[in-house]
Amino acid sequence: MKKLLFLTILLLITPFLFISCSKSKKVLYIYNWSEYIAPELMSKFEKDYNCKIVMDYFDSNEAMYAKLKVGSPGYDLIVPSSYMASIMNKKEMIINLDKSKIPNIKFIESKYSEKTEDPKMQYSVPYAVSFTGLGYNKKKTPAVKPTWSIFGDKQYYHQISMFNDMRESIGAALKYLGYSLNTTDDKQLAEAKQLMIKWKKNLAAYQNEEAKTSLADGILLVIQIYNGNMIQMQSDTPEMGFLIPEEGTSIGVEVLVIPSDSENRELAYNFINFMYEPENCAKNMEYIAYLCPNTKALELMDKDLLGKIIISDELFKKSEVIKDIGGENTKYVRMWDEIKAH
Amino acid sequence: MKGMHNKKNLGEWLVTIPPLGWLFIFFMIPTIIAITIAFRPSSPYGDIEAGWTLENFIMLFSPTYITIIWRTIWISFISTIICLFFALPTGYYMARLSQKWRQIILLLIIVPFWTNFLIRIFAWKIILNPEGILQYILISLGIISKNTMMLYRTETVILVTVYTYLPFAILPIFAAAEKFNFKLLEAAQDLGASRWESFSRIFLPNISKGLKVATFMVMIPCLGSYIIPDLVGGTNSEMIGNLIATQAFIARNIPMAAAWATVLMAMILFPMGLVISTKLLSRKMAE
Amino acid sequence: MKCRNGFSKYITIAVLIFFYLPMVIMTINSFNNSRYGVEWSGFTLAWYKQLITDPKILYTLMNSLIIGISAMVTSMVIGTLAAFAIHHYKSRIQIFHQALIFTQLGVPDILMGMSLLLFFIAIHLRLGLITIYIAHVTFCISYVSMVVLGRLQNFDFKIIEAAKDLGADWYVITRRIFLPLISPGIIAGGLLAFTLSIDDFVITFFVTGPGSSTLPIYIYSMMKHGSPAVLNALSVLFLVVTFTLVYCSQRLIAPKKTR
Repeated sequence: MKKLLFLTILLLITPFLFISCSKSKKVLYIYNWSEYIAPELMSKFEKDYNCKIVMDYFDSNEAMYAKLKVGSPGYDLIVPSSYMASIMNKKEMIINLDKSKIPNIKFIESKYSEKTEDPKMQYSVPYAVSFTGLGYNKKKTPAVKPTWSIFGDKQYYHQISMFNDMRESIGAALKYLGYSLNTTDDKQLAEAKQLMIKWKKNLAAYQNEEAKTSLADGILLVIQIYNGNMIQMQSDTPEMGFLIPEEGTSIGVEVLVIPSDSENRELAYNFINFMYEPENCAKNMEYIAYLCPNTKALELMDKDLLGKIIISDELFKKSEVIKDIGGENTKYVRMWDEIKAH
Repeated sequence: MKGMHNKKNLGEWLVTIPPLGWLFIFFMIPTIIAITIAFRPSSPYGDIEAGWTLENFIMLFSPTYITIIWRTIWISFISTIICLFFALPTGYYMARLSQKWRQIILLLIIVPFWTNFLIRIFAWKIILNPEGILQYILISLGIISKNTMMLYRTETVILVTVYTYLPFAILPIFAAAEKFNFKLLEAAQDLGASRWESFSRIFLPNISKGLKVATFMVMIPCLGSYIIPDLVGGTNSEMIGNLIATQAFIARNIPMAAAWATVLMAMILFPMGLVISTKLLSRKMAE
Repeated sequence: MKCRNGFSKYITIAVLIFFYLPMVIMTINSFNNSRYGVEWSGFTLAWYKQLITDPKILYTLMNSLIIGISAMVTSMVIGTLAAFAIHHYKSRIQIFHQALIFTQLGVPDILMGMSLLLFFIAIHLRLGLITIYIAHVTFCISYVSMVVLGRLQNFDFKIIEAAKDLGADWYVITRRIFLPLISPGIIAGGLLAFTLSIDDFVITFFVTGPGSSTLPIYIYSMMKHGSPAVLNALSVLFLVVTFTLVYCSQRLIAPKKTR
């Protein structure tokens, strides 16, 4: 009788024996996009600061926000896009940064921050700058035209994809029509909706980053994608090409923020400062293939790669950063659902 | 006698409390929370506001969403029919095999059902690749043209759904067929019934329980599926599951996601409850 | 009769081909030298090497196994109790009990994931292995109890009455008679629970926290961002392991069945 009782109790507590393992070192919990940091820098930081980095990945800002919104998962550092950082700031989910703890911030060029909601870098510092464009296979489709209207081009019928991200996809249509991609004007949005519906008939699917494997596999011919994704791929499949439509595009500014419930703020500050160390920053850029607006680090960069991760001034002027539009966001959600159900 | 009764009661409570308590705390309460949230308004920043509203449900029944509800139903329906169509002969055939072969085929059917669900979907992306062997064979047979895209279509969603859930349909049908006395079929035929008659009027009613279980096992996950349309579906294969994911993760509208989930649950539980309660009722009548 | 058997035989063969075609193609591709695409460009073991040297795979696999085993053990105990209670006692509470189990089976994964997430947040439970474990036990209980219930329906309770008459106490009855007789059901339910837990993506996706990614979560991110070729190699390993496991378990169960 007692043996049986003991056995039952043992069985019920086994999981907890497994789960409660001791922690001796400090742990820095980072919530990041995948392949968005050079692994060698992580191990270097772990060694220098005698700590352990635990990294989790998200694949959209909204998924990350939803997770944080409903609870406190306990991260120390997050890498959201600038518009999401602004929402998190409004909701007091992140702290105002104490710049004295990040001396290396002096290397940061403010050109990109100035296009975001946080021009003075009060609660966020730019980590990586991306540009949305078109990825294609130079061998199969050498003559891809640099325009967003390519989504309606019958030549790529059912072999072309757009992002499964309402702001980016609708943004492409808005840019093509010559409007701001942060517009909330009903007429402009209605026009964009019609265009999206027209394009949709020609599209294979709405896909995010997974489109790049479909492109490499030959399933798709042209995809909407970030520049860094394509540059990363070029290292082992050189026939991959990337270009930015001449109508202008969306600039993504991913920033570093510290959540207010972080239990390891000091370590998080150390990490931010560490990442802006010009040498580390250059190494990281070479790995992630996105621009970090760190003037000192850019001097250390391989010129060939540098040419790929920045864009011309002319295009920069035409391009915008996706901003938070508050309650007007529901217009986009509604429109996106209507496009998809059409 | 009274003491006996109390002891029995105590025993019942001892074995009932752990499972019932667990399900009550971790299943019933969370589900009720989710359903109540469906009646709450939401702010653009994903907050759940105070007060009550029916707006989320009114929104659901706009023409935009009716399309998607309808699509979810017919994709699930067709997938279930196809699964049953293949599962019935397979279950029947397996039940007629010798013990040894039955074991082998059973094993062969269970194994794909034990590999990772995502990997099974991934496999189909390789097969349906426009540069893959299948496309090549179908083109040379003249079944499809060179430009036919086999991925990213609603048909692909159905194909992969059938692939994923077919074992769930075969197993219960086989289990029911295994208990069936096949001599009955021969007897019916000796008495002059045609093959089809004996099959449909004797075999099918006898395995109806297995058929019902198979239908539920396929239909339920189909209605709630969201990964399959997400990975192999095209621009026109969004299902309710995708809408829930969109509302929860992209639109930051938890009440709306909860409203969708509530509707989905009602779509599943209502017919299920109907079947079970008619069964209970008929049993009571028989008593 | 022969003709009908012929038809069902061909369908069965077609179904098996349907099941195995993707597996075969994946196995071949896992030795394919080309990183992307489907063209054959030479034999390689590089993907397997990359697979076993990826620390993240081992880490997430460990998480999956810890959760799978704990959820299996817990749901075997709780699910068996549930089945016994429902089968043995016919009170009103058991009708509710059974209804709860049925409802649980009918609720789609995505709803369960969402409602559990909201619940964990409400009670301030930090997301992690514990929350995944609770979620997995919750959906496994119903399956285990259904399987055990099926076994109990064929169980002759007169044996227990007989044992009681012969003076056996509660412990002896449970230990020597009841458990051995229904153990195939419990084991089958446990295996089912383990499979469901190891395979679950949707619910885990909602309730996972920092550092507690499971293998399916990692596979999903590999599928979206990373290395499709490595995924082929992983699938083949999965197949080999499951085949061995199923084969062994069939071996263990088979002699008992024939008795």
